Amino acid sequence: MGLFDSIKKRLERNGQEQKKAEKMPIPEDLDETLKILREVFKDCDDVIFREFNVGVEQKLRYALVCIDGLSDKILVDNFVLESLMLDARMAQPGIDDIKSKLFDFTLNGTLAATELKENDDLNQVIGSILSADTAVFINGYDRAIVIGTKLWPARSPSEPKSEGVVRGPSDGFVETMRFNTALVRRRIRDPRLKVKQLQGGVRSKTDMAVLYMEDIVNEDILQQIYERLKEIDIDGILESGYIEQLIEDNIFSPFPQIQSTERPDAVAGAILDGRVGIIVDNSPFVLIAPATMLSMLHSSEDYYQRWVVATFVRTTRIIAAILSVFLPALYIAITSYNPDIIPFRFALSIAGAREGVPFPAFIEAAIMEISLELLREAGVRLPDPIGGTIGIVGGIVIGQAAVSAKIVSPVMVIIVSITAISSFTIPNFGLNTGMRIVRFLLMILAAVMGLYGVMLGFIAVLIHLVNLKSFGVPYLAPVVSMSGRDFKDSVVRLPIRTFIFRPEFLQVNNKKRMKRMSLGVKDDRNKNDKGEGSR
Amino acid sequence: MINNDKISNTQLWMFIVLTTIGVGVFSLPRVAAEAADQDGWIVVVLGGVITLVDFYIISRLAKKFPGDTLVEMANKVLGKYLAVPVLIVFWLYMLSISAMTLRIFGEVVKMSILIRTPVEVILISILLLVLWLTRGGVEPISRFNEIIFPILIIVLVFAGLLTLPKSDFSNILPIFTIGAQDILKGAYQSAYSYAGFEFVFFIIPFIKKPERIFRPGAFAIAITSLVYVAAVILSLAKFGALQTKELIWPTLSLIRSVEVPGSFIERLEGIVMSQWVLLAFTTIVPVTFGVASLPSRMLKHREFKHFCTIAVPIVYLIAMVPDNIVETYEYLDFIAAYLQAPSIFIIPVLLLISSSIRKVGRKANG
Repeated sequence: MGLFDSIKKRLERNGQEQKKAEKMPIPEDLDETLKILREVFKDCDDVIFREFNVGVEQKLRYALVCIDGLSDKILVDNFVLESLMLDARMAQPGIDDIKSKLFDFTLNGTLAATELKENDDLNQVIGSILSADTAVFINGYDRAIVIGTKLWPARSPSEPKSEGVVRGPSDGFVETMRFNTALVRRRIRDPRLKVKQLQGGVRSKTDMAVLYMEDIVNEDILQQIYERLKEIDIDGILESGYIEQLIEDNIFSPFPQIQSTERPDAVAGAILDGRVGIIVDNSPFVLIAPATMLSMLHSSEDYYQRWVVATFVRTTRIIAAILSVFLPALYIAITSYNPDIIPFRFALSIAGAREGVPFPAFIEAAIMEISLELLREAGVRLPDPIGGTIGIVGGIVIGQAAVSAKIVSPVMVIIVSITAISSFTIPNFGLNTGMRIVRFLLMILAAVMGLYGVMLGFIAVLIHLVNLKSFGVPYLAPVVSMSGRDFKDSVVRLPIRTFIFRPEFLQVNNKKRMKRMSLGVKDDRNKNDKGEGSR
Repeated sequence: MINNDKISNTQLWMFIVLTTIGVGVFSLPRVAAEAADQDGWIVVVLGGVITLVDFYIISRLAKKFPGDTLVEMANKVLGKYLAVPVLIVFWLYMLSISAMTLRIFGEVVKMSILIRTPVEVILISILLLVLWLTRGGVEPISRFNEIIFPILIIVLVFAGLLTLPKSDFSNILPIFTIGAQDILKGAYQSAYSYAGFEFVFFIIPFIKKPERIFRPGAFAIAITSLVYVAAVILSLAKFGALQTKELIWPTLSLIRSVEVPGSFIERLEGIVMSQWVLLAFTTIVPVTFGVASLPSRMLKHREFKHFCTIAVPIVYLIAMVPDNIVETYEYLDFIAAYLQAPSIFIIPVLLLISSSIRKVGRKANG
């Protein structure tokens, strides 16, 4: 009990510390204000304090505070300082007016900027300054003007490094949240697309945006996401990976339960399905919840290609995903326990190829898989030109040398290569990594108990998957709890004309997606029939 | 509220098919041939009919008590004290079915793919998975079955087609040579192969439409019978009645005899055995669920998971009682003689009749 009490007390104390950030009034005297600010920003040499005088007689004292590098200096110089120092001189309001309405004149009549706010809480003003706004203080007023001058270093949208497509847009998310919301908004120009902004991280004060379609999304899912986001109480959120790990359902699972993507079209598609997008500042990876395993095996290109091709590609990808998990384990099980299930001659040729290899199949496979993991890791860390070289040196030279040196058999090299190639077809990086871990577990089971071990492993993975949920949605949906409607966009991808309803397993409010169209061959008269009821 | 959890009709029939098809499929041709020689398949069909009638009674009970398991039904119908012996008999039946299935499973795996592994290792490893899945409750089990089902059906159909060459279907002629008494006896014996569907008693509260379970159930039993009849006919056609009687697991021998010329997989045994691990698993899990569910409902304990953790070791201990496979089948005969009839017939009928007399439960329409 004592332990719990002390933990409880500590929690309460933490709560109090945070509540201390209460309202702090701004002193009317400018010198005093600046003194407080200089104390707050002590040893912060990137903060700019600019004091200046305004008016013909130079009697009105002003001060401007912003952060060097974050704020747009051109905007501050040309439209704040210039307006106040030069243009304001030309206007000649009556002396009395100036005394009483100086603040309003400055706010509404002088500053030529789009985003202006008035604030009388010094703490909030400091917060704004830190997020790249500029604050203007006027002597004699207990209020400050906050000018939106955000211009932080940013990258312009470029092609996503993961999830490449041939057919489809090649813009990708960037590190700036505002750009990212714009990329989604550009695709869905509907006031029902809501962009709710939150802040997370006590110190980092990271902006986050929750995006959803108001009339489609399931409120329970949305509510759950908000609750979990609000529970977060951490010093800093540096990447959306923090959020993903802080709000996911099962932290012990090797599989990601929230989809992360760099592609704006994938997020827009998910939002239209009734999912929720979470954009975190400073991260080009946008989260999509709830996620299912199949949604992570889908590429957005699947929807841009014609359905016959898309179905073929998608099925191939799913088979590849299964192969990438089971192939090495099956090889180990078959060569070391049950060589009788493959044709006699093939078994002989495998045995012949393994002639001279001193290790059992498991060690052989482990050597190859581990060296492949090393190559992969090295390839990611090294700069691009050397990364390619590593692939060639590692893959071809070492592979060939290992076979000649009889450390591994050529069949093993083939198996490991096919496994690696298959795993690269999985579009989602997190799922790919999770499957690698499962692959190693299955290899161990295969080494211990042969085919029976592989089956046990398969059952174990399946049990884990059927128990897994992402925000209340079964992870294996729509394969489980299957309704006929959801089949059309699962393992296969049927024609878009059949996508009349949104996925049923998400239990959305607005189910209908498009107006029913004829599935037959069209004749010329109906050429421009696009289905007006589509939303 | 997000809720995909209640069992739909589709899930229910897959659930029942996977539960009823279990280890019985391997020994069934022998049982059938012993009872009725080349008329064995008639025995199996009759076994299916018996099961169907039994399931009809269960569905009537489900209609009357849509939110209850067997425990609440017995308490409502028979009263607190009279319900206890009835439930104990039923529990023993479920327990022994679960344990014997497990043991036969272990022996088959040992014989066919893990010859030098002790049977204890096989049993404990699979039981850990059984425990994991049962602790999750009904919904994960039904989702699990939904994934397994298509895989299994494809493999079964494929394997069945591949056994066709070199079969002689004149082996099942002439038909109707055996007396009615033998056929009925055989039908009763073959009912073990259908055992397991009694778990439905324990999942009634989790079904979306508990009033209408007869149709999916009948469909499921039809599929099971089809698979069994196919197994029996194919074994008889391949080996003839006399040889089928001599084999412990004729179906296994049948699969072993298959050769697939010109394809990558030469012998089906490994593939079918690994699929069969799934079949046995999907039988053991629901029955073990029943074994754990019954006492937890009886004692009105809220933590079902603890009962699973206790039930699984008990199942293991019972499974290890027989010394060898022959003894296991002797135990099964014992169960068939003393526990099966009361559990699958007398108890449901008793409940149905006395609920009508005492007018308990919701009135069935028509």
